[in-house]
Amino acid sequence: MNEALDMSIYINGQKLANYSNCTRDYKAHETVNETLGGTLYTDFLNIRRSWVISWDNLMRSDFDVIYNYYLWRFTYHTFPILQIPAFGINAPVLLDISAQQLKYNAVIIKDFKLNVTEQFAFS
Amino acid sequence: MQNTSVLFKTLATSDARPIRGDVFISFSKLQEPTLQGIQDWDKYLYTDYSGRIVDVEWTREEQMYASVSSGMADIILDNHDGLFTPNGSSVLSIYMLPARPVKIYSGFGSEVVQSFVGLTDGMPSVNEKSKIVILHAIDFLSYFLKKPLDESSMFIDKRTDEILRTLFNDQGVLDVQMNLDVGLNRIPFVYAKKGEVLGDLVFKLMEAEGGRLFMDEDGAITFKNRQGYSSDVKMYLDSYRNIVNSVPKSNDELVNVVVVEGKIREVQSLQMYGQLTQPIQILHGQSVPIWISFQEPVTSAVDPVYVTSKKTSYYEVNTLQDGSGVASSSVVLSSSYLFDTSLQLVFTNNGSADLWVTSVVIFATPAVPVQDIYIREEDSSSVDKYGEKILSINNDFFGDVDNAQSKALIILHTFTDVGEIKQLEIKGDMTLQLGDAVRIDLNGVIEVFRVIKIINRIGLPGKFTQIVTVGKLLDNSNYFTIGVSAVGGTDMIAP
Repeated sequence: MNEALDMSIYINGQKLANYSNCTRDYKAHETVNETLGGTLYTDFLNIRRSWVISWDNLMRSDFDVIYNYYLWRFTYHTFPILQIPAFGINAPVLLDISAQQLKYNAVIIKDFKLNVTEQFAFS
Repeated sequence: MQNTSVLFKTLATSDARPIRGDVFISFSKLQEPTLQGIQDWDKYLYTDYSGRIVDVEWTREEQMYASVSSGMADIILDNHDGLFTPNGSSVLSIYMLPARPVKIYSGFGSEVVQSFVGLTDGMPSVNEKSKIVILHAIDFLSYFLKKPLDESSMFIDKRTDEILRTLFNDQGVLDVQMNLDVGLNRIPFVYAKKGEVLGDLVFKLMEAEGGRLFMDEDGAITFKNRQGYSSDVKMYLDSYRNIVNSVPKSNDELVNVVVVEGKIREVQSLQMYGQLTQPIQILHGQSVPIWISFQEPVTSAVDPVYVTSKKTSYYEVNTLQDGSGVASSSVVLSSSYLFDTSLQLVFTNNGSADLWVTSVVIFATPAVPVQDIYIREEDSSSVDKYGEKILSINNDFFGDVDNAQSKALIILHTFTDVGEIKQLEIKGDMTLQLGDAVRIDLNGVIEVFRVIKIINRIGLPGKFTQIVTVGKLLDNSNYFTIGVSAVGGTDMIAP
């Protein structure tokens, strides 16, 4: 049996609230070319990773933690650090947040998404 | 093609290629004296801005009929933080000025070659909305070619390479920074006027030589004579493997009639060649400069002496303007300075009376036209098909009529039909160079062409584009060359 991984996510060392779902994506900076004879080849620069972390219901206090890191780049002009120890990830990231659906007198944020994009692509 | 590693070649032809482009700029133009580079531009302290590249394009092109190649680059960098904004608050803002040294490297993965070295041309262009800065750069050769000559120069019976070496030395380029073939055109006389744009002069030299002048990717000014073309195929292109697109060129670049005109100048033996046009008075105790103008440039002139002999330069002095008074030897020549088309003489009156210099006659060695060249060659079959497409060449640097005729025939041989120039987008290789022979298999026709223009572009997202323009390969290595080929030998009159 595979041992369950600790899938905790940290921003600047602070653990985020337990999430409902996390989707990882790889985007290649690549062009696909075709010769006149129909042969394909590709030219690529690098690959960039991104994650979409979602919460079905997020407590307002947990949202505030995320929101502070969302404001990080506007305040400190640098990117915060994403850490996912289970995958050995420790990298500066661009954070974007979805619109917030406020419930129960804004105590709960429903269906909230945090978009995380790695600053440096790799090749 | 540039020399590179086996791994580079392997990656260039692989199915999925890791494209790499690096940009280094020396905005401060600080030099590190301990850096040992062959070229002066290697001694600048460069900073790597590769991480900010949005798009980088560099182009090399030969001029069609006189092969002076120019290189240029357009670099677009991310400027989200205003780093490259002139008069801004960034540490670089005070250095955002024209003529900043730039180097571009390109390649695949860890394997790169130097692709361009030059200077930014003009101020950086900042697009505030897109948060980018656009830098236009020209290679160092283009920079030199735009400059006017500081001094006049005359060259007597010199080869193309000898003239080029002197002209570039005068611009501060050292011999080790040049790689010049021995020229095949020997020119009896070349007069480079002060203020003339170096590029105009060099263009004429290359037009007459039939060779190529370019700055190679490493920054060496390189001259190849007309035999410097190799027909060894450097790259194989076919529609199955590596031709992405083929664009037909219009026949506007056809030439089927070539007219060459020019004058051959030669330096003549010492002869009477200039004189004073009207008497000039010199007050006693005074000095007066007198200018003698020459119709054509002279390479030497004999200072006049106060003698009665008229077999060499002389001057006459009299108490009266019309020379009817008393001759006097009280006026002496104090100094003389020969300019190209004039001679300045300073005379001093050491006598106690005012005197007139009534005549000055100068013996000199002028370089005068000794032969007019007029050649008209045409390809009648091409004229019948497309009408007359005339190219007129006016150039005084053809060493002789045969050389001028060869030039006309070589152009006709190369440009008389459509399809002889092709533009192809290919699965590129950054080491491809101007002049390289490429074998093209397209639509069932296999031919060998020569690369005359290369556009390289690397941009997001991972796009490398190489567009090459190719012309008909001309193997002119076996054409008769005055002073090189042997009469009765195997070399033939071109083409």
